[in-house]
Amino acid sequence: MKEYGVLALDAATSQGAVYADVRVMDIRQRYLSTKNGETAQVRESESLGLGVRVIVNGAWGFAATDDLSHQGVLGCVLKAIEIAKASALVKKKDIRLAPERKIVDQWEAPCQIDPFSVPVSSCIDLMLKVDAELRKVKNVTLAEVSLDFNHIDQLFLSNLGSEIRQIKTQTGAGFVATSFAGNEIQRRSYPNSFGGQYQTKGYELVEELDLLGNAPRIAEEAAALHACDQCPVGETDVILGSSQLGLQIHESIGHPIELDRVLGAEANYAGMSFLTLDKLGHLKYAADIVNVVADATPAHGPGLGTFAYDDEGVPAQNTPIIKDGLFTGYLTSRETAAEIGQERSNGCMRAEGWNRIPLIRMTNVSLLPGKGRLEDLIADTDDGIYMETNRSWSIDDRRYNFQFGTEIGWEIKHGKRTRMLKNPSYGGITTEFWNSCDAICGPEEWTLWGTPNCGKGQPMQTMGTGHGASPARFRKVRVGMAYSK
Amino acid sequence: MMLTRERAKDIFRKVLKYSTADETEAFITSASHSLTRFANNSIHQNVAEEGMSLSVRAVVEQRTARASTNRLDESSIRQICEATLALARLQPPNPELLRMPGPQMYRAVDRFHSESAELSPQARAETVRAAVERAEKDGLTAAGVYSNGVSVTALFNSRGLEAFHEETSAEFSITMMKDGSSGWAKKTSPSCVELEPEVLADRAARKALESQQPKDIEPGKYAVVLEPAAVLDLLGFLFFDFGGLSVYERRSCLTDRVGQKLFGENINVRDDVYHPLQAGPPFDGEGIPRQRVNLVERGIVKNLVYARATARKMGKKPTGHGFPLPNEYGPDEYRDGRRQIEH
Repeated sequence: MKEYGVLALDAATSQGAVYADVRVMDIRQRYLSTKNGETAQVRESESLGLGVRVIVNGAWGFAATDDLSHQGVLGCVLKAIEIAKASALVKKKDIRLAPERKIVDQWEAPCQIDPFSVPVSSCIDLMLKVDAELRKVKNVTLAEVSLDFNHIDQLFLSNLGSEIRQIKTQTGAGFVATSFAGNEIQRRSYPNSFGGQYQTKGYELVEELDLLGNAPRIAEEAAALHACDQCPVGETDVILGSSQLGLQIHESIGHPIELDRVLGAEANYAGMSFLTLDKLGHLKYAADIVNVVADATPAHGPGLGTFAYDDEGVPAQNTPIIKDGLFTGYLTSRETAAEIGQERSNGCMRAEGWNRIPLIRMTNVSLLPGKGRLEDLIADTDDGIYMETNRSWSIDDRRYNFQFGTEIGWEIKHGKRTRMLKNPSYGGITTEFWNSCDAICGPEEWTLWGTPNCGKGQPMQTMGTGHGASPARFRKVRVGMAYSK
Repeated sequence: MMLTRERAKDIFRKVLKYSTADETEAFITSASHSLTRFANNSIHQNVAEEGMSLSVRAVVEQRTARASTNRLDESSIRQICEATLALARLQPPNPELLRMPGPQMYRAVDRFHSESAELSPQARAETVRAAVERAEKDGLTAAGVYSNGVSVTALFNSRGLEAFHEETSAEFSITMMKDGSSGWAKKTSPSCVELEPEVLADRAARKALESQQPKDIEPGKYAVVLEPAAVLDLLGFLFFDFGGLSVYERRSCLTDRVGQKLFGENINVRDDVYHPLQAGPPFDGEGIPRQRVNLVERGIVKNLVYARATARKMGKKPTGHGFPLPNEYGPDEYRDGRRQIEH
């Protein structure tokens, strides 16, 4: 890997790039799935390539190739240079980057059990056992189980002299029980929807999740939902389960704090942000008890947003985003930090692969835990709804007005869970919602969830992000509007 | 370097040399794409990528698996064949697994335009500059993309199937913004000459200017006129549900509703890969020729689309909409994006 990278870097510098960096990435994936008693997908892939970023004539250029011959690498560099010169034809000012130091280091994320060493037959055996448990329940019409393993080996070089090698293993696992009855489809997912739970760790995640032990309960809930009452329409107190709150954080905090969105870079695609620059340090984003951080450091946990250095060679950092309810931080890059006069990037530039430029992406954007257990919070709630596991999401392009649906809910009356509810939904305005938060459960209820497929950029790229959350209560929230007539 | 038919055949010869499976399939692709992105009336991201990929599927004793790589040296081809076979052997047999299809006949589609393949970064930048000048003429802020690319898809199998398709693509999209209003326009085509970016820029600018100072109205039911892109956004949510497998597995909103009138009489929806505005190869992930399918006629849900295995389960003929195997989704209905809506 280093040979290709050094060749590219030297070529870029000799061609006049005032800044140049190279990422060489070797990515391996194994994806396994079963459906209704049969193996559905058994596939592996590997991909090796490099991407070169340059600044020439005050503007960016990027080119990527998997042709790692001498000619192929040099051709890629010349393309990046040509592109940068073209960019300079339509610019208002030269690119400035916040300073960064030279770093030579290597880091490997902890991994106890290499998932690629676990026999595929063992994985399939486990998935088919889970599948069988799900389909024991009458009215479960579709059972789907999946395991997803990724190994990412990246070398970063820059003309600052930086040389950083990072190796990460990521694992994802989960299942869905779908029930079709009448003309209604209900489903329940474990441990989370849209593929399950993902973290930067090895096969030990699969063992921790106890997929088999949770299958009967999840299947029974999927089938039982048809007979449940619809979530009522109105205004009430809502307790969000940990995984649903993780997505709430992702959509209504994580995205609007991306500084490139604030500055208009995503206006034609992913959208902009209501968090205009004047709000930094002034906006009362949330209630006083709410504290949110963007923490990429390994100390935060094995999140999908955990690393040692971002894809510009900036060290991972823990940035306060909301402190005691006040908005205090954006996610930045070297270019955007300089744009708003900050001394340093807080290390949030990440690229999906060797063929994509790094963009500002969430790392682990997490709600810090409060106190107490979920059952205590329910006991403390006189009248409300507890909602669990995301089913749908909708939010405007500035991240202000949202509506979410969950798979299941329970009504709370006088401190007790009563009837199960189907098709729960809730909505609101981001800052009003977060300012209505009056209780957050403690560390014993906190989970660092993984969202594996956050999309952004043109050409589009997906990225894994982490979101830690404990269940929390929000007062006087509009509910049930998704199905209101 | 783009993949030629001869190079693809040569790669497949090597795959066959190293594969000891009962049946072997190779899906070989190459792509070269460039994209110039602008925001705040400046080019802020400008990228190009190229790559090739080999994906091998092996079948041994009714078991199948797939492995992919972008390393195309002989040693890597041997390794990927061995890996695929090893993966396939690790699974339980699937009695419903069909034999790979034999040679097919494909209708010719011509989607390669050299002007799109050769569009340079400078040419894209000049076009963006003109769009920005249009924005600045009315005090607007512009953001958007101008992209072009070449894609090659080749599919071979050990039963003699051979499919090859190359095409170019181009896209221009632009958002114009001014104090609380915005306008958007977009066009895609295999030929960049057909995009007319200046027309799109002007349309987006007019929409931004004409939508300034919008008024509130009460929530309620209104007659609305939707642009084609908005119609697609609305109808696009349904496209997963026209797949035969999703109906068979009862996860489609069309379950038990095929043959019913679910839309207005003025609504007809057709899946037609041969339409002159369409993109993509004339064959699916197994090499089956794509068929033109009338999904909705005069508001009635008429037909679904089927991959081979789903067609067999449901007593239908395959329509050429399958994903590469193995997959659990069935027909590649939504991701094809080849619908036309007429009214």
